[in-house]
Amino acid sequence: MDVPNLRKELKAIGTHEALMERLTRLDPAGLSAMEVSIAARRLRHFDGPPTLKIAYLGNRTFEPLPDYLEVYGACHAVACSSYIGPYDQHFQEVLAEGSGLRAFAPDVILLALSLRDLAPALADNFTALSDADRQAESDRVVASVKDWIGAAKASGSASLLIANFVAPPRPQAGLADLADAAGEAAFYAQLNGALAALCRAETRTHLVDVDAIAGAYGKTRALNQRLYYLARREWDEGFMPALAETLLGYLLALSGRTKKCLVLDLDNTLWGGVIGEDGPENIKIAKGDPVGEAYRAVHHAALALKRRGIILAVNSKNNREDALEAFAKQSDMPLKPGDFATLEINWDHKHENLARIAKTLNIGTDSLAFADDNPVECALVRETMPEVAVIELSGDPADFADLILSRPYFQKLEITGEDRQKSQQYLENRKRDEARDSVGDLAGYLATLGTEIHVRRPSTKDAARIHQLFTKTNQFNVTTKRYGPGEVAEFIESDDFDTIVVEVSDRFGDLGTVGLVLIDRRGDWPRIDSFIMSCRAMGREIESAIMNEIKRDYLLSGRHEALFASFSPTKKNLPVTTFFERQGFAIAEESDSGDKSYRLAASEAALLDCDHIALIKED
Amino acid sequence: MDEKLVDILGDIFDLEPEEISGDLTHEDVPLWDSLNHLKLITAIEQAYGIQFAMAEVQSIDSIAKLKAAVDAKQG
Repeated sequence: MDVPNLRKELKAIGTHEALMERLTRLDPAGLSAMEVSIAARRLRHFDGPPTLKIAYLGNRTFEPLPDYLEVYGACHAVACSSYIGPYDQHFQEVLAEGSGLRAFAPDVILLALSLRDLAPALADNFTALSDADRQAESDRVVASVKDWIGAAKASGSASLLIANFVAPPRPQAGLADLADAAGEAAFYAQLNGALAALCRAETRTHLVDVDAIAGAYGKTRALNQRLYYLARREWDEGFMPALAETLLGYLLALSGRTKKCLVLDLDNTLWGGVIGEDGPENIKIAKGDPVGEAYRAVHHAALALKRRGIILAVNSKNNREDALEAFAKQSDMPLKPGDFATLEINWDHKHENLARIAKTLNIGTDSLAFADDNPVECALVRETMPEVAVIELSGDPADFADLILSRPYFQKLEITGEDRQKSQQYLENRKRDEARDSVGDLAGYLATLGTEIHVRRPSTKDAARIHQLFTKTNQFNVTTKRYGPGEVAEFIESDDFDTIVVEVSDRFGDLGTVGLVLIDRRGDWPRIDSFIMSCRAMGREIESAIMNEIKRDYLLSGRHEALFASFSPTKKNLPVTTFFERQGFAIAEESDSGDKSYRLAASEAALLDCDHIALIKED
Repeated sequence: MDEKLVDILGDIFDLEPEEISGDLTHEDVPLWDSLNHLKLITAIEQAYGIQFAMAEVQSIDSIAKLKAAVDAKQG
């Protein structure tokens, strides 16, 4: 991207809001080092709204990485702020009560240590060490990181990102290193393996594979010796975009700003050629044809995303019959029509189809990413729906698969059972809709579904899914509090909170863990702090069945005389504006901003009729 | 002073073109700290296609010295 005078333009923008808006229309990968530097300075110049707070700790000079992450974040509509801890004081920063880190109260801490100071013997004189010495050094390094993780977790609720160590591009023993089972390459693989295992075993702790990111970029270019000697700045400026883009993936995943659905065009996106002109039998998608193989790689990329839990959809200007004929005639295409949750194939505008796809899937248009080869269509979608992430497949089809897979907003830090089943669940929803259309009236339809809900207390195994529900649910969410992984762990373990998870199934299939209630018990009365339901479970009165169970458990049992509940309006939670009123609660307090506090006395608690749902309570 | 140099100095030290002169030293420019110094060196190297030795990087502490070093490299 070439934006003439972008530097001047950035300097002239007068508000944080306008600057963020301008940056969201830029592709961060196209920004020059100077543009990043100026954009970061301007972002900090304003007192922006609440931010995602990122702290950088370790024995290295981190600048200008925080600039990059703040600007890349802004390009994805995430405002970040940074704290860079003093050199080599990562322990002091988490341990000392009055440290700068504690005052900053980060949401995310990146720990990136260099072995050059942490274990100079390993870095400088590897071949002079005995096998036993190497092992002892490795154990010492891993133990130290483990201690730090423990101290960092005790100091706050931040998620921890732990950078691994870059294996030297030139082992001291040269080619002979490979002949030694305990050589330098093998040693770093083992050390990084131990670090990865440590991160997997700890909650809210994630490994950052800097070794692989530097390898992909080119290690000898990524590690700048001159800057290391001059300023302990080991990472070259040219390496910053690759590093920042990866770290952005973590930030988007941790803050729930990822995309839920990949919408694909067909002609020249999923195959070479145009059905309407070339005919369904002549499009390029076969093995053995170079162009066809490049498009097959796009199919495999889409299928990989589907297995991550990203829903697939089609948005194409074509005759629907022609397009389906192409899928039928080219029967060895990796993607089948059944892989898509919905197919909008017609002559309407692409943005109209995108709105329809979002409505069908019951998700916001800001949860969509749209891939298309046509720059005019891409520009039109950017203009009409700036909240949709557009993947413009320009240039060589050989690069398309990587263009899709490298988008940071498709990242997940863990793939849950829910993710793997998601596409299946949307397919089942399509069948439910068809059943509803054939039954006609709603009560009759609900009765035919055979809905069964399981209500239970979660274990630590549910933590990832609970975090997803807190961060990703917008519509049926009474307070939209975005709790982090640290807080989720506390809710599960602490007696101050009751957490309830709800699983739903019916005769069409399993909807998975779709309901979540958090009850805060720290006050005089229990208070419903969060009541969340995934959109795919809405519209069948499951919420009333859950609330009936809560009324029975807390009020009708005689345990409490009253139950309180909180509500905060957002742009997206209109479906729950009068949720508590419908459940019999009375407004106790209401603020000017629309926040409400509700009260339900035990004497007034009445169960709502939802006989079509079978509720099973598990211990 | 050529426009490219004025541009880079203006961007990094947040100065207007008329504020930039050869007389300025790192003590006169609030934003001329060690991090921005490296940013300056990298930006100059990229813009002019030259490379400073580490000793030169350490000795450049005024705009006059910077300009002289750039001129010498360009021959």
